[in-house]
Amino acid sequence: MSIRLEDVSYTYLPNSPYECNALQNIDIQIEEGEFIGIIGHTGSGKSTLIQHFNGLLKPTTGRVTVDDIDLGSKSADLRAIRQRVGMVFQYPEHQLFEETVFEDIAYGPKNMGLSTEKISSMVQKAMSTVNLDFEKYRYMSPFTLSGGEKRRVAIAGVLAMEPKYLILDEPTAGLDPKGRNEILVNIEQLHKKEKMAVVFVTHSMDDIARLADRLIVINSGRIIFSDTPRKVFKEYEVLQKTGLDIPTVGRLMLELQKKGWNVRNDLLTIEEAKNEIMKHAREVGRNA
Amino acid sequence: MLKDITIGQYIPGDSALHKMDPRTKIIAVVVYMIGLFLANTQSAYLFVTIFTACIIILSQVPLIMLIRGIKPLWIILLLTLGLHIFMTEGIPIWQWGILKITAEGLKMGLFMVLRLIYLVLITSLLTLTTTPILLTDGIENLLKRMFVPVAHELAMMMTIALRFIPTLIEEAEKIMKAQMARGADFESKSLLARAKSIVPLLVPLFLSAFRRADDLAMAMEARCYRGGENRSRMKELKLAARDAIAIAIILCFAAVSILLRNGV
Repeated sequence: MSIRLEDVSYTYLPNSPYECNALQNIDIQIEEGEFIGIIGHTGSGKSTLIQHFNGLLKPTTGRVTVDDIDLGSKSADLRAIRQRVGMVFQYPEHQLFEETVFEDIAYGPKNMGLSTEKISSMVQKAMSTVNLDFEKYRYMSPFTLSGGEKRRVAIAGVLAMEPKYLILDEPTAGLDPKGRNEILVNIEQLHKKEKMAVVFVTHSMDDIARLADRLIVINSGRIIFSDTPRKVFKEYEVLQKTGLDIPTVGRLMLELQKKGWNVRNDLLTIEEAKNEIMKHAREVGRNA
Repeated sequence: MLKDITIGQYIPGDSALHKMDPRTKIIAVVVYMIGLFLANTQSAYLFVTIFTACIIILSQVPLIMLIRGIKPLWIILLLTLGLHIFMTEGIPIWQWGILKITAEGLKMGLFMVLRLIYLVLITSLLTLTTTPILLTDGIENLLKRMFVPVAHELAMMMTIALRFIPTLIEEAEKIMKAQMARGADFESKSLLARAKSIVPLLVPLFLSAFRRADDLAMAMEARCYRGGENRSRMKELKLAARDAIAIAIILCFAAVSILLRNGV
């Protein structure tokens, strides 16, 4: 079971002077339980791409299937697909509209036509997933909350539908470090504990290096890399040419290499970097 | 579906109409309307048709853009035609039960339809050949000359409103998609389902409009905006020989239209 894109191309405003090929010949397969990072500079087609995963956009050519259901066919129930493929847009707090936190999170499950008790339990579960205390927040207006809390309510609104695949478009943009960390921890736990497949669009190379199993890099509507973060970030020269960066740790190691240190440069986390530097320091110490 | 809204659309170009002073164009449109509404004979309509066609050719605006502007009016056009054809008293040329078509009715109906079409054509030509900024500058200037006290504020409101139409459309589409991802039904045939899905769209849209208004007001104040008093302009509107010629032509148009009305 997987989300599969076969030779997908998407053109904005076809046959007009403003025609724009946003995606070209994309082939992607997202397996259950995978954690995929999508990176690319602004305007590279990331947001267009993810909107194909739940049928919000229909490919101009090519085919999208979710768990073997062809989204292009007339019989495909797109609302059921959108329940299965949860999508959190950029600045999701801008889509809050209900009077209470509970009602807003319940909007998705309500649209699925479930019973009141079931909805209530789903909302409760979603709220605990994003660390919002049910009794404390349920009657509060979402508009009185802080930025980070609002974002977590909006994410809970998607999680409440219990999707199998979760797609997040820059979920940490515009949050303070505390809010960012809380959301990253929530997402990590969803992936590890609930085995949810996560597709994570971001500009933060540090976050994605640590979290993703596989990294997809797109540039001008084409996939240029699709591999483990370690292998992708090895191509730092190509990445930098397309306007992307590598994780801070990788940059540090490259700088150290330039200074003549004999260290690896394909490291992703601070922990790895620490060990490598210690190892090097010990060697230097022994030789001295 | 929201992309079909074409209010305030401008097509860049280099025609005589594009270069004309916006004030001239506004006045010309008003005079044209007078001429158009005075026309009531076949020869007058023939004259108006030829004149309108000349202006359209002069503007170099693709005809398809103009036709697109008329399309949404077809119901009104059909209704006008129908009402006039069947309701005007006169010599019947066709009769079926109580329904009868009179020669006068047919003539009146066609005239009214043409009148409406030309009206829309010329006013859309105005916005198609004038940038929104120039248009509001022109309106502001004209209002000031008519001693309207809040001319600048009115014009600024129009400019901002026009500027934010595409932004709000984009915003609405974004919110629609986000709610669709949560199972909202904007595409359903059922009217009830669609009406229900309006609230989740409108509340965030209003909120974002207010947020934008707040931000814009703050940004304008930060740049020392304080209304129209003593405000100078980087680009002053200046009348050229072209404008004098245009005014002369449009006045001639109105005169001929009046003459034809009296059956000369």
